[in-house]
Amino acid sequence: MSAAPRLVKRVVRRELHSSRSGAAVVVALLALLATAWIGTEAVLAALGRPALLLSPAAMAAGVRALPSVQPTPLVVAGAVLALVGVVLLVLAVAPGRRARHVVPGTTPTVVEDAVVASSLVRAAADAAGLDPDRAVAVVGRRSALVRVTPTSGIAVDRGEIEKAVADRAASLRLQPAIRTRVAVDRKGKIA
Amino acid sequence: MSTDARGRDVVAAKAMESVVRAVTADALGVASKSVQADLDDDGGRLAIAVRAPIRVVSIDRLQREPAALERSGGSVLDRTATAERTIAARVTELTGSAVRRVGVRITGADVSTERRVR
Amino acid sequence: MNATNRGLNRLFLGVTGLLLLAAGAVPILLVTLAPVAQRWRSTARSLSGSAPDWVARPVTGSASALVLGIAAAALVLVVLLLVFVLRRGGGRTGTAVERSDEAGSTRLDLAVPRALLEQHLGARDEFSGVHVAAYAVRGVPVLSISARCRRGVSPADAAELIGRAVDDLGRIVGAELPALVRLSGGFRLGRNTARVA
Repeated sequence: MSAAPRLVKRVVRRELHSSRSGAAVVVALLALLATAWIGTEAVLAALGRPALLLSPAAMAAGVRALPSVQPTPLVVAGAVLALVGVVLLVLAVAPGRRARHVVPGTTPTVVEDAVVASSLVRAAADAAGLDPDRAVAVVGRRSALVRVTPTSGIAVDRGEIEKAVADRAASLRLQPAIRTRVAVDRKGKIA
Repeated sequence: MSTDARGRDVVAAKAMESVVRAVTADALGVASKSVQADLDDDGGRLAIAVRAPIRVVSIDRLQREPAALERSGGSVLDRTATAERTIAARVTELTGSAVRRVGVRITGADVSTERRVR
Repeated sequence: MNATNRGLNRLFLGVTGLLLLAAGAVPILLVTLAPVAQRWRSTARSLSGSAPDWVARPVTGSASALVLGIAAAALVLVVLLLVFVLRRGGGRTGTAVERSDEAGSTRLDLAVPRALLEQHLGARDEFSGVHVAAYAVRGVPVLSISARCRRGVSPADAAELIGRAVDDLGRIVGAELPALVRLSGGFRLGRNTARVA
C-alpha cells in the first residue's frame, strides 16, 4: 500500500547519488572570496584609497605583462588551474553514487552498504559456527566479498558459508543485485 | 447600555469557546484543557479554529487486534471530520450563529498501549 | 531528501570547472605557442597606447568606468553566490497531512505519525534508534524514517518491519502517508566494511 510511487521513486534516486552540495559550497565560498576581493580593490580605487593587494591598474599591468613572466611558474600556475577545472568538471558530470542499495518493498527503503555487510557477516559467522568478529565483509555496487578467519585447527565448511551468504544476499533482493564471494583465510586465529 | 452589550459578548464568546473545546475533547478523546479554540468573525459568520492532540491506538495494539481501530472511533481523519461537523452543528444549535468554516489541527498523538478497561 | 537543487550544484561546478580550465589554458598557451605571446604583446601595446575612455579615463578616484562596472558586477556576483550557499538544504515540513475545502481544513502535524512510529519502532530490538522527519517533495509531505540497525540485522527484515508499521500507520491515520526508509548502522568500521567487534 504505497502512495505516489513516482514521487518516492524520485526521492530514492536522489538518495542514491551525491548532491554535490559539499563541493559546490566550497567552490562557491572560494569564488565569493575572490570576487569580494576584486570588488573591494575596485571600490578602493574609486575612493582614491590605496589598494589592499593589487590596485586595478596593477592588475591590468600584470595582465599586459603576462608573456614576460618566467615560463616555468606560468606553466605550473596554468596547469594547476586547469587541473582544478578538470576535477570540478568531473565532479559535475560523474554520477557520484553513494554506498547504498535499494531494498524493494511497499515502503521504499534505502540501506547503507554497511548494514548489508553486517548482515552478510552474521550469516557467514552463523554458518561457520564462529563469532561474528571472525568475519569481515566488503560490499560494492554489484558484488560483495566476505572473508572468514577460522579458529586454528578447526576446519570450516566453505560450501556451507558460501551458501549461507548467497542465501542471505538473495533474501535481501537488493537493487542492484549483488554477487557474493567468500574467502576463508588459510591462517587461522588461535582460539 | 453598550458596556453591558460588550460584556455579554465577551461572556458569549467564552461560552462558545468552552463548548467548542468540550465537543472537540470528546470527539478526540483528550482532556478539554489540552484543546485550544479560536473563534473569529468571518463576514458575519463564525470561523472556528481548533488545535488539539488526539488519542490513538498504538501500532502494536492495532497489529494485535485490528478491531481496536474501529472501537476507538475510526481513523484519525475520520474522527477529525466528525469532530468538525459536530462542532459546527453544536455551535449553531447553541448560539444560533452560522458557522462559516471549521479548521482542526491535530498537534500530537496520545498513543495508548494498554488494553482499555471497559 | 531535502530541497537542494542538485542540478544547480552540478551546473555551478561544471561552469566553474570550464572557466578554470580556460583560465589555466591561457598561461600554458602563452608559453608554448610563440604566436600567442606575440599577439598578446602587440594587443597590450596598442591598448595601452590608445585605450577607449571608459577603460582608461578615471571617473572617480583612480577608477575608470570599466572599474566601476567591475565593482558593481562583483557586488551582484557576491550576492548571488551568498544566496546560492545559503539556499542549500531546507524542505523540512512539520505537517504530515493537510486537507482543505470550502467547509474547513484539517491538518495533521508531523507529531502524530512521529509519535506512533517512534513508539512502535523504538521498542524493536532490531533498531538502536529511530528518527522520523518529513520533507515537502513537490509540495507533498513525505515521511523520512531513519533507523539505525543493530549489528547483523537483515535489511530485509528491517524493511519489512518498518513497511508494515507504515501501512498500519496509514490505517490509523486514515490516509496513505508516503514514506522513505533509510537504514544505517550495522557495524563499526569504514564505509561499507563490517568488522563486527
